[in-house]
Amino acid sequence: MSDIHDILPGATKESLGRLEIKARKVVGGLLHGAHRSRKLGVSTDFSHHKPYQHGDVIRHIDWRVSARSDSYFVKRFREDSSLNVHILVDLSGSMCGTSFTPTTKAMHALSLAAAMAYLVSNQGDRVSLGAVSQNASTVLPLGSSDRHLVALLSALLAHPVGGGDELVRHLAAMSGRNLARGIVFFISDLMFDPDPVRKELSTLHHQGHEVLCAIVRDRTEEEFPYNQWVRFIDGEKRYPTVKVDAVVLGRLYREEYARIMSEWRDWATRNDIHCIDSFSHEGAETTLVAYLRHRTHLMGGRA
Amino acid sequence: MTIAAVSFLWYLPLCLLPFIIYYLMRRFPASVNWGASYVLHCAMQRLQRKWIDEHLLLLLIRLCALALVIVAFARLTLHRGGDEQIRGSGVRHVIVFDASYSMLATEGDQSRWNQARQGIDELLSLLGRGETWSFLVLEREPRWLVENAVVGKDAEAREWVRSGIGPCESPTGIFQALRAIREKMALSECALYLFVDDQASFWTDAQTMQGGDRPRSCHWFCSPLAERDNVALTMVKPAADHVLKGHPLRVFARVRNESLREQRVPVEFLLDGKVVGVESATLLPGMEERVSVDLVIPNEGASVLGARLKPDVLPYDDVLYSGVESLEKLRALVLCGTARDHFMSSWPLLDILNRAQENLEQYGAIEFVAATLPLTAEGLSGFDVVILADPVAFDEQQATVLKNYVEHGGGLFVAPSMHVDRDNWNLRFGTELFPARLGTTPEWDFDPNSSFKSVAITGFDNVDLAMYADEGYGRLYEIQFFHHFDLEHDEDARDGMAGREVLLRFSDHAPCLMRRSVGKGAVVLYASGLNGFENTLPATRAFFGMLYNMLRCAVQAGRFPLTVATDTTFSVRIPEGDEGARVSLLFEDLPSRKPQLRADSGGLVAEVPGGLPLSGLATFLHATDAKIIRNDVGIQGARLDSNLAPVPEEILTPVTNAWGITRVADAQALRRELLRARQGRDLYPWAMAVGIFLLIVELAFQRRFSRRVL
Repeated sequence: MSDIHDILPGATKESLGRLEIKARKVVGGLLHGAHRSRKLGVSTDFSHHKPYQHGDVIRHIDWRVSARSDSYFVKRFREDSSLNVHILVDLSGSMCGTSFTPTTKAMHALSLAAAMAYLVSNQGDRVSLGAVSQNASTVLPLGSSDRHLVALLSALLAHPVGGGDELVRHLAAMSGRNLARGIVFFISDLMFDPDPVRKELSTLHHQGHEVLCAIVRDRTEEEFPYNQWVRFIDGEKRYPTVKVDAVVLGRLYREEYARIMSEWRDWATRNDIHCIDSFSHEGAETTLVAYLRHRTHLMGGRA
Repeated sequence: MTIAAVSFLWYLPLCLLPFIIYYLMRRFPASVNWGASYVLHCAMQRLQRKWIDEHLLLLLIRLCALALVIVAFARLTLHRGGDEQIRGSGVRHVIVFDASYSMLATEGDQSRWNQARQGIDELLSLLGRGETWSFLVLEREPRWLVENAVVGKDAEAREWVRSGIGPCESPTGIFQALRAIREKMALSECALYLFVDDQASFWTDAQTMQGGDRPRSCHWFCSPLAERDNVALTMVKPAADHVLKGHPLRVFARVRNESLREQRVPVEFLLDGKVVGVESATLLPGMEERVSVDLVIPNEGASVLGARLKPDVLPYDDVLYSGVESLEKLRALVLCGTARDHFMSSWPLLDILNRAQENLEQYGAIEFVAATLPLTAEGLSGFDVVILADPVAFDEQQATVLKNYVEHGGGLFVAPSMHVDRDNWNLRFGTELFPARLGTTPEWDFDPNSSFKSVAITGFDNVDLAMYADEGYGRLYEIQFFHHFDLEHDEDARDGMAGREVLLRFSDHAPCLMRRSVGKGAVVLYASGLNGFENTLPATRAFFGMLYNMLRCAVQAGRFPLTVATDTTFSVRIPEGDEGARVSLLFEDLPSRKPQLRADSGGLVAEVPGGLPLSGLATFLHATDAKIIRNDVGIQGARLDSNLAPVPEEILTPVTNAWGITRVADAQALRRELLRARQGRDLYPWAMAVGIFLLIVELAFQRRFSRRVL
């Protein structure tokens, strides 16, 4: 892959052009924006009354309410903020496993990240990037300009794919930096020990971030279409090479695959985290558009 | 019929097939770079030792099931008789197999031969390891095909039995079979298995079985035969082996009714496979009749004459063949005397022949050439027959030339006129060449009440002259002899009457025409001359036909016989100049034989010493660089086995009772009987049942295994 148009083609931009992503939770963007913030400030979104204190702005006194009581009350407003989206892409060795489809999981993940970055920056919000593999991690700070988007996409393309997972370390670093509340868009095939990753994602969730988990799935890996003895080579070198009768293992593997995915989904449901099933043989914009429509439906039509 | 046999045990290594497939597939797996190794790892943790154990258990069950199925097809038996019966206890199992043609009698789709072969297979499959068995095949003489073979050691012995027997003419009976066994071993040591039919001729000497020792056990395998009405062709032969092209030829066939009822039998005559005539004969039981047709062979060269009947219970004796060779012309040398005297034989003969050329043409081209002494070998070499009539006397050199000519295949027709020197002829030819000596000339009896000698009109056994039994070919009894020689048997002849035959007799039974085979040739001696002064033959209508056929009698079978009996030595003389030729004898139902070349006084001879065992057709090929000569030879057996009449019960019952013979009708019955006698039990039903049960268990286990683990 040598061009950013390969991971963000014009068709994707066109599909995402009129879509927006709204934060489901209050966010803590630095700039004024279109998303609800936990800060109180200047806006038309009334929050509550508070007894007047010395130093409050007099024009904020609600005279009607004060007239019905013996004391003065001041109106407070919730501030609207910009949205910060932190994209974290898993580019470990498992993402480039053999597939019968022309698109690898890594390519699909890059496309998905690029589409999300385009969507966010297109609506004027800020997006950051974290691409993680064993030997390298690429981190780009928040930004919303077109130049930032191009830099982000270029960084994605330049990041090497392979090696083991370093997601836990990176997630821990994210939660340690105590970032302003936003959306953490986590793209991975989830082929790792789930507990540490879930723990860090839960931490982020409890810090107020909305965690979006995009599960990159490969149809070959899911269906396990072998009927012979197969030597399976692990791309991450974590596990030894396995030689096994695929006929015997087939149903067991598929059951285990479904179990793992089900566990992730249960965990996400318990933590009010959205999981997006993204198949590598489908286009990234298709997955994203479908999710955004679903998200809009869940939020009561509020785009 | 069954496909089961002990040889199926050789397939036991196939049981390892599941293992081999398992390890081959394991040895050459596909290789993939797998992304979801974590899932794979999780799945593999559940496939631990127990799975491997169960997988191997499944493989073992498959192996056992396959092994049991193979064992079932091998039809093994379990013997309870202890070590004595399994290892052998001095009992010699002797199988007697009747290889006669009568075993080819067919009932339904199966011949007795094939059923007996199946029975032998069953028997051999039941013999335990270490047991000793022998195989006596009854051919022309009893022959031990296998002697004291040990089961488990002599594996090739069974192959000998499969490939070493074939049907043949067999006069051997039960007496000869028992004598052959007694020569080798004591009968009391034997368990006897008779695979013979119930033909009366086989059991003729059955009474001899009642004396002496008796075998430990005796089983008689004889499949039933409902239809026994058999008709056999016993002979087919043309009047002459070598005929002139376009000359009428009479072909004879003999047919014998071997059934117990009168039968009307149509006989089809074939020329080169084409039906050329049908003659029928009505035959009483046991009656043999001769039928004939006249035909013309249009082409020069070798042809095959055949006769056939409608197929019956014994198809082998329903067809016979004979070879025949048609010649372009017959060249006859008439040896004349030096003086042209009308009282000689040759000159009047030549005059008659010259005047009757047109008449002769209907008999084909016979070319008569006159010659006088002295003779040379080169001068005689181009002639098929020499007519010797007039020369008064021969010197020794001339006599030698004539002897060599005859021994090399030439024909000599001798018609001595009244002027010949009888003593000289007897001296030169009487012993070595002529079939009889020239005796005295009877004095003329001038009594007006007496008559001249004439020819007997019955007793034409010789096929060359048999046509004259029919008056339509000429009234031979009208021939009167004014002068003739008495043909006297040579008392000094060392070989007696061997090679000599009387072709024609006078009415007083004295020989009139005799023939003798000498070397490759033949000599025909006529008791009188060929002129009208000594007898009236030249004046009869039969003269030309008689003359031709008498000459034909003198022309011996050429280079080799075209009809031979089975088991006689077959020899062919190689023409001079063809010594480097390649010769071969091809049979319909047997492998071809390479004749042995040997030199004799007549030159090089190719000989098949073992004879020709099968009735049928053989082809003699004689190839040189320039040509290939093919001649068909009919081989005709004596039909010793055509009578399928069963042995009477009054002969059989005492023997059966005395020996305790157990008679079985088919292979299954033999197996049951032998198992009962040997206290054995068939393993194969159990093996098959357990094998199938194991396969079901394997399938069920596989499903349960799949449900539980996968």
